[in-house]
Amino acid sequence: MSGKALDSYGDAVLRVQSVTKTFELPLGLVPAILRRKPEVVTAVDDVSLHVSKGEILGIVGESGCGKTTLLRCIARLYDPDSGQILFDGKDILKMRSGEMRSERRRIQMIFQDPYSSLNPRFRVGRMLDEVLSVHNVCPPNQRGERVAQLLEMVGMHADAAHRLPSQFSGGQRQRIGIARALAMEPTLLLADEPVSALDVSVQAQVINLLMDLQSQLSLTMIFVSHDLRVVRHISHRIVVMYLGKIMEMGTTSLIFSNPRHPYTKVLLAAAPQADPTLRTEVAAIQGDPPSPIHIPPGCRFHPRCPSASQSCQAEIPILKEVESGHFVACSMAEASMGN
Amino acid sequence: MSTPLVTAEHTGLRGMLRSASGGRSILRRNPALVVGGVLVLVMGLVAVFSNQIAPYDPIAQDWNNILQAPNAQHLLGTDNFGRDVLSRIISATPLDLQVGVLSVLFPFLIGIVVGMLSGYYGGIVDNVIMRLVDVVIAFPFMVLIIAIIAVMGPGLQNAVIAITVASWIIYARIIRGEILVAKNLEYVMAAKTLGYGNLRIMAIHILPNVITPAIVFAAVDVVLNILVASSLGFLGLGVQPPQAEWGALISSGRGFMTTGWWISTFPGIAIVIAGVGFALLADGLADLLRPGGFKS
Repeated sequence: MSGKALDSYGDAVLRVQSVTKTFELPLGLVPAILRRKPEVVTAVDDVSLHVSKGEILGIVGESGCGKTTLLRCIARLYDPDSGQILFDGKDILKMRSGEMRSERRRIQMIFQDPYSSLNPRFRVGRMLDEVLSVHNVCPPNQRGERVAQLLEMVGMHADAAHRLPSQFSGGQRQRIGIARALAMEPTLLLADEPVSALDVSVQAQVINLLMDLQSQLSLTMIFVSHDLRVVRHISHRIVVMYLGKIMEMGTTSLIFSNPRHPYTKVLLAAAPQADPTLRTEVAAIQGDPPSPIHIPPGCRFHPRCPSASQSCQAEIPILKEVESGHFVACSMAEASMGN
Repeated sequence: MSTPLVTAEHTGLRGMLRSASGGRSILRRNPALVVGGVLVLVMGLVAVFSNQIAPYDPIAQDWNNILQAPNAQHLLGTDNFGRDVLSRIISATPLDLQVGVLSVLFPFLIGIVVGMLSGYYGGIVDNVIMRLVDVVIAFPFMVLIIAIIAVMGPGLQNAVIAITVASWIIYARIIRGEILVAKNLEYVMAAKTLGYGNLRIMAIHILPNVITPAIVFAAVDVVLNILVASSLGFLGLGVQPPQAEWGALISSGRGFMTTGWWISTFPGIAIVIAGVGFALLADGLADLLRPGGFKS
């Protein structure tokens, strides 16, 4: 399952440093004339993390916690407000469009919705061929062969090249999306909830495919999901996000065996267990996450936290290493450690 | 694995053409396209061969046969100068179709390019273009056209220019709205992460998926523009006499509605047929252009 302690910073393929991304809400005409300031949604707030070579990093959190936004910043679909994203030591946020376009070959993305992520008018073969021809990664006379090879790599028949996306099921479409991402032979694969739109039986197939491909092609991968079981199965290391900030980060075994942050604890308690005797005594989380427009002061989890104290309302906890390879942003967890 | 519901042979334009040999099945599956297409095609042929088809000289006056009701010699009767109404309607066809089609083609092309840039880039580009659109919208459509023709002088060419100036905004707004939705779809994001250029994304990935409403509107717009040209002809700002034009023909018969109803009625019916033809064509195209072909 997990095990590999890939935590040395030296071989980091990707390093995200203090990335913040906000969105301004559109103003109505009257407030705009009155020069009111638009309301700001802070989707990702000062997030730092790294991914080592050959590692699968899982990012979990409720919807709206900024995990997809963070991923889109790394893919540079969004430009963050501040921070650095170092890919192989180079800051991709400083790259100009020409340089960025060639660098994009090495960072590819798998999308959440297999129905909208494939152009409905492109036959599968043309879709894959376009990738190869735009970047000239393959001589024209070998492209057909390469397309067939890509399709077989994701477990599909080469005949699929002649069909339209509408002729495939969700799972098959997601395989096509994976083939398209792999056509560029990327170093880093960003998976944005790639199985949450699929049936459970198909989810397992796609996840196993991703894990096989990851080890075959020695890919580095960031896997975003709200489903703890999926993330536990696939990830070497896990990042737990809440309202745009990292709450806890550590290897999969540490997070699941010894969760330190109250938010992680309630998340784990909320996940369904196959064995009813394994039910934990931690109460399920109450209410919805607060609006990311009005983030609570102090620790942003304190209004819903079962073990919040007075100081949690004032003081923003910093992500600190509580044991080797295990980081927690909670002042209570630190206190209970006794240091 | 599941079997596909639709086979590749029956999808898209190519599949449509391939099954064209079995014409009956198309007629059943997309009757609007067939009927509309035939009507427009017949009008096109009439327009091309108008000189050969017209039984009489459309501008020759015959003072012995004025205001004849429809009869064996003059199938649709004669007007107050003894000119054959059928011949005049036929000789007006190329002109009206030209105005209708050209005054759709230019706004269509301009509107699509401008709307695409506006929707795709957003921000300042979008703001500038949309304020320009607001300026054009601020004028009533017909008043703006009449004002432009008043400056430039009457005639076919100026009518097309005036209609273009007044109606490109509609296409720009249609396309902009569609692109605002489409540019956030995941296949567009996928195209960006694959490192495709903006032009490729706009023209090859987005545009074919959003152009259908504009094409459908264009087919309807042909009819509207024929009506505009007819209105201009009616007002004396369009084609000048003695050249025949459907609107002008209706106008010329309005003094004889009680004694010679056929002078105004038959050009009116010609406009209706053109309208129905293009409207059905629009409807059929909407079906045909959906991804994955038309309804089976």
